Amino acid sequence: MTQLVQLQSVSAELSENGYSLFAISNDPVEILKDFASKYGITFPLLSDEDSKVIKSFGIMNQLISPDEGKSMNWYGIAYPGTYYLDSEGVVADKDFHQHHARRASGSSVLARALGNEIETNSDTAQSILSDGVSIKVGISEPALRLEMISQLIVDIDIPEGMHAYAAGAPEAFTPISLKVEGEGIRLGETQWPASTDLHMPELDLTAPTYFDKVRVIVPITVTSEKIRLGHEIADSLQFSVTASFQLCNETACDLPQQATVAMSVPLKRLVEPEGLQTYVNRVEAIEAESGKEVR
Amino acid sequence: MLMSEQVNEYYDEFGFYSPQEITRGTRRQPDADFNTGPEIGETVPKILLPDQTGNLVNVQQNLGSLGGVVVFHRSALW
Repeated sequence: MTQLVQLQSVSAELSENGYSLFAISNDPVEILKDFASKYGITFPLLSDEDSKVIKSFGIMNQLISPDEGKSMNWYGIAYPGTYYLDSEGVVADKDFHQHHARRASGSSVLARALGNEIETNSDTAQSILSDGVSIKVGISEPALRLEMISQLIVDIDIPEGMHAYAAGAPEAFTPISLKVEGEGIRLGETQWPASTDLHMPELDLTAPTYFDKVRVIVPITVTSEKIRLGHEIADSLQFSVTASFQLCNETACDLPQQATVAMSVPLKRLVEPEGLQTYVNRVEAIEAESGKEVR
Repeated sequence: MLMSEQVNEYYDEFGFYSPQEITRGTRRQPDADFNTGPEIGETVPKILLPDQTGNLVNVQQNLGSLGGVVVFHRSALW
C-alpha cells in the first residue's frame, strides 16, 4: 500500500539519522513477501498474523467482530498509528487516526521523527503583494492521494521593518489567519509557529507578533468526494488559500488586508488499485469455492 | 468488473467512500478518545515478529542509535 512505498522512500534518511523503521500488520508473511518484492520494500514488514503484538499494545480494532471480513483478515487489525520510540523503546511521540483508511504520508513521518521542518515537494503557487508581502503555498508531497495525510505549507514573508500580529493580539489588531477552501479536501488543525511578544509602551500593550518569515502547516487530505476507489480520477485538485493579516511598523499600521493564492495539486492513485482488485479477486475465489456469499 | 460497480456506494460520516455498508464493523470508527496504546513516556511491549523474509525480528534489539519508528497499518494489500 501507498504508505509503505512512501516509507521506503524515506527509510534511508531515517536510518542515516539514527532511526530504524518497522511496519506491523496482521498480514501473513506470504503477503508481505509478495508486496515487498513487488515494490522493493527493504525495511522490516512484520507479520502479526494472530494480532498478539497488536493486542499487547491494546490497539486492536474492537469494532470488528471475529466473523466479519474473514476473507480479508479484517478481524485483528490495529487502529492505524505510528509510535516514535527512543533508543530504549520508550514512546517519545505517537500519532493515531480515528479512521482506518487514514495514514500519515512518508514525508510527514520523516519530519515528525527527525523533528525537522517539513519540506515542500510539490509545485508551488505564490502571490506577492505591492507592499512586498509574499504568500507561497506548497505541499509536502508532489501529489495528493486518497486519505493520505500530506501537509499544506504556507510561507508568509513579511517585509523588513514590518510585522504582523499573531492570534491572541489585542482586539484593535487583525491577527494573521488562514482560510483554505476547495472541494474534496479535509483539513487538520492548523499549526502556527511561535510568535514573539512585542511591547508597545506608548499604547501600554503587548501583542504576539510575527516578523520576517512565518511558516504555517495545515494537514491536508483528499477525500473520496474527489477520488473514489475503482473509478477514474481527475488529474488535479484546485483549492485556494486566503491569508488575512495586518502589517505594521514601529509607528503605524496598514489597513487589514487579504491575499489569495490559487493552488492546483496533481492527484495520484494509491499504490493499491490492486488492493481493491485483490479484494474482488479473493472474494470471488472464496465465493466460487464455498458457493456462499462472503462479503 | 470492479467491485465498486457491483455494489452500492456508501459514504461514511467522515466522507469516506468504500464499497461496503457503513454499518459493518469494518467500516465503523472508534470514538474520538479510543485506546491508542502506550502513552508518551511509557515503554512499549516487546515486539518479536517475523518479517517479509520469515526471519524473526526483535524490534527493541534493532532500534537505531536515536530510536525507531513503528507504524501499525491496515495491510500491505490496502
